[in-house]
Amino acid sequence: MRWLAWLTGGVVNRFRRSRLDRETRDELAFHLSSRVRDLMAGGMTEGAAERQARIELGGVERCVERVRDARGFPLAEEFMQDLRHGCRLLAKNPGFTAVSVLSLGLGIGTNSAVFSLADALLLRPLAVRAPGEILSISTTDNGRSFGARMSYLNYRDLRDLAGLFTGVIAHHISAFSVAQSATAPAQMKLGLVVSEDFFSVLGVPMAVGRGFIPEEGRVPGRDAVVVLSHDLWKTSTSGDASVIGSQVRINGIVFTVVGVAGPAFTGMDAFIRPALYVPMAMDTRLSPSRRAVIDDRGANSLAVHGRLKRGVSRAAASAEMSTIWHGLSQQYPDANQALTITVHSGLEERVLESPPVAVLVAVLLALVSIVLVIACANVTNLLLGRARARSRECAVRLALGVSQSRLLRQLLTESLVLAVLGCAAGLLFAYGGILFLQRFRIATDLPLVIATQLDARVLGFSVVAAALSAVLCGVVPAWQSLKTSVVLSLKSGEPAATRRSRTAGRSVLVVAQVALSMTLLVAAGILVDGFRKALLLDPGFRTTHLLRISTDTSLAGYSPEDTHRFYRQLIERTQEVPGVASATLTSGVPLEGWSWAQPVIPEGYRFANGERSEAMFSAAVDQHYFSTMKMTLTRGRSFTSGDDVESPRVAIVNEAFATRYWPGQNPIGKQFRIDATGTPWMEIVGTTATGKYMFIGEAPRPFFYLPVDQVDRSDLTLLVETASADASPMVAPVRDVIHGLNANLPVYDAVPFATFYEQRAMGLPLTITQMVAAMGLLGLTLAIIGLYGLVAYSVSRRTKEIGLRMAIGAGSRDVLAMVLGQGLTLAFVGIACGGVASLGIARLLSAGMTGLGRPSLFTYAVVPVLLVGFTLMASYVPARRAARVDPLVALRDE
Amino acid sequence: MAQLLPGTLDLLILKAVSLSPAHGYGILQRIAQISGGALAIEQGALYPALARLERQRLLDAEWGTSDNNRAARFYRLTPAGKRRLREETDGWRALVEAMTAALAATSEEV
Repeated sequence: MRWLAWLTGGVVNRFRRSRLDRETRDELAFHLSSRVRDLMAGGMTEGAAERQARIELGGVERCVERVRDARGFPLAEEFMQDLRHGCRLLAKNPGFTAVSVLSLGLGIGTNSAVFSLADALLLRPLAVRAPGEILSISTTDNGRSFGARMSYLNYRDLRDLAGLFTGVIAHHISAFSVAQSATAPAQMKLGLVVSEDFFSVLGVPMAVGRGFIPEEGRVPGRDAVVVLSHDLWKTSTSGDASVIGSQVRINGIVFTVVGVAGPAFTGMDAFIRPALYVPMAMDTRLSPSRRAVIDDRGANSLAVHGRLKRGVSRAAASAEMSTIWHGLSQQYPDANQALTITVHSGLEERVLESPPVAVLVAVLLALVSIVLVIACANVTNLLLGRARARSRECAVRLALGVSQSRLLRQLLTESLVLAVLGCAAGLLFAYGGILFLQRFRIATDLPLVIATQLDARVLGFSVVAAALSAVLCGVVPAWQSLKTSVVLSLKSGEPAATRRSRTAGRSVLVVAQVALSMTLLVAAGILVDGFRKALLLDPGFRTTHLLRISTDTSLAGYSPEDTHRFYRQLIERTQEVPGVASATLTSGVPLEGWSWAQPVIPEGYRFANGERSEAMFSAAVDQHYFSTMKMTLTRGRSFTSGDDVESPRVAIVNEAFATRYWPGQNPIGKQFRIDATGTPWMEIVGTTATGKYMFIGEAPRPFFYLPVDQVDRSDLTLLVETASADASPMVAPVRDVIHGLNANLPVYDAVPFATFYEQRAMGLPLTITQMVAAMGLLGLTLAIIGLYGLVAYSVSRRTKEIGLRMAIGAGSRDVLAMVLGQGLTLAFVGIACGGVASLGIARLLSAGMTGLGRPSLFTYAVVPVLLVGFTLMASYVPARRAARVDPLVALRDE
Repeated sequence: MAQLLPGTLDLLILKAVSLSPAHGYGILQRIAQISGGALAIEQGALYPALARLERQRLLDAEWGTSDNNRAARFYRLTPAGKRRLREETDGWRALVEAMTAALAATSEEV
């Protein structure tokens, strides 16, 4: 922290100054009175003695000033001096300044933009009071189901027993039908069902009104109160304080608005933004089907978080939870024995929830930091180029008695000025980058947001990056200037040894730049290639001539029988609409990014880790699904209208599922069941080709389908095949069919499938591909600038030598070849080093992102060619200049 | 009275303070006394020199009472000051010997 003392020392000195001056005056007063006494003892009159004493001292004020000077400049003043000096120097070399600031700006800017994406995807903590104290508490069954969940009864016991937490809260997300009044049309909104202490324990700042109070958790179904999200408040209601006390209908029940959450709080998930919050006591009244879930200790449906008491370590909290859980397991062995309890920080929780996102973030951050290093190397290189001129200046100043540390500070201040300018430029670039990232949207009515934004965190990150680059690119050149200046103070010329080592140092830098940019380009190539392959690949289903539209009958309070009847009618009526070729129902649309995970027990299969079952993604579909979606059945049959509640249970699995459990066997006729009490065995009647299910770049994954009539799902999506390629004109007629059956049923995500597919499947991969490609090109550009700089510099330094060579018979062609050769040597060494590093990166990438597939040799071949091509271009300009050297002028010029 | 060579003021001050802690005026008197009145110090140069030595942490200063019961600023040597005094004294002796030898040289010795 010495630099801090250095900065603040200046300020403190400024305040100390008046005190120090007063002290000097006191000291001088004592001196004068002593002198006067002595002079008077020698026989002088008092007046004469006083005059004499003052003359001898040379004036009190002048002496105070000289003492102040001798005490040394206050650091703040010194710093301001250095700052002015640095700015003047930069203004005098506009070319140098422009290239440096641009390099740093691009480096810092891309880092800031990528950081803001990483922040939105993973890093940003919850917008609550002291988010570091919030831990997620979850029970896991070692992979049999996904997500951090806990049953309601276990949550209640944990909350009552936990002593090291100031509070333990629970929530789950749910879809609601929301209307402003009984007559207004209902809309589907996501809401969080939260324990009544949710807002108080988290410390969510409220925009207006209040959070829930303990009383509102006491009696189930009594207190119909709701807290709105800031977004909903601003968009759908009055947007002022009068909203408190107003009424909203949720699933047909009248709720009173008691508060609005602050704008920063957007729920507990990085992507899903709930529109409203309701107390858990209202859970079963809102969704009667939750009754069974609430009463079942084995039904894990809640996400649980606790706030640690001040000063309690995580290890202690973890130990306490384990102890409590041990008790609960013994008390309720049926529900709890197979589960273990874990405590995670917010970041760990987000990483565990989506490992691919964490890998992506890590890869992007690593790549983008390489860009910053290349940019810094550029600036270092430029500074080193000027070090010769600077070491003269330093030598003079050293000779004049300026201390070395003072000079070092001055030189570092200059790179600090560069970094500050670079940071400013970087924020501009970052702003552009963030606007680019914000373009990315998902076509769904659900409030899914990747909230990239230029906020205080990104700003802080940029400042840190800038400070780091100031040190990174300033230290070596400053040290160089000082070192050589000590020698220079004695000699007028530059010693040969330092000259050679300096160019050698710069060559190492350029080689490193080329190597790093090669690595960057190969990584970018692998990613772009992987995504391109994935994007070009047939996803395995229809993407055009298709319309999607979703609804949820539970939002209108349908019974399971009503639901079955409703969807049967919906299919029949939709097929009668002119322009509709076929229609099908499904519980999940491919590439939506989430899916229905169910733990499966395959017949006769033994899990390696001794587990009983394993979570697999699935969908409930009707008999038209595979034909409407143009999915290939590889074996067996499709579902039929005969596969209903009455008939034997059946399933269709994909090839990956079949080979996972029955490799080399015919899966038709095999059975599996869902890991829950009393579930029947299901016979596999058909298999499909393995397609894409969660996202487009995924590795092949097992998947299974169940007949929609054999499961209870109230939320289904209608997929309609249209006669025309563009499905958008059919949105309105199909929506009318649903509203013809029930006008109050909320309809959502009504879009042509092509639109959804483009944004969902292509959007994020395309954005990331463009980003990574941009990083690669940026790295290349910066490295080439560095290479050009070095070659041009050495040509200018060797003008005399070149003149001499030409005078003794070298042709301009030889000189051209010599300079190009220098550039190429740098490039080849860089490519060789980069090649080795690239192999490592490629291995890391394919280990981390399994969906990428094997990196093609094409990337390895193209990148070096690209580098050599650009090197030739960059070296050609100084080479031409060298070839045009007039030996007469060059040799005379000394 | 002889004029001071550049750089010797600091050495003299360190020497004077090394005998016992003293205030500025006392240092002046002591230098006059130990040099037998031969070395004249410009009074206005003393206090900047003291400030400089204090900044270099060769001297420490604190307020105390003088013989005639007035508040005065007393200087004392720091360990670094003692070390510096030793080094400078040795350096000075070497210089003096070398200069003396050089000035005593006769034409036969060349």
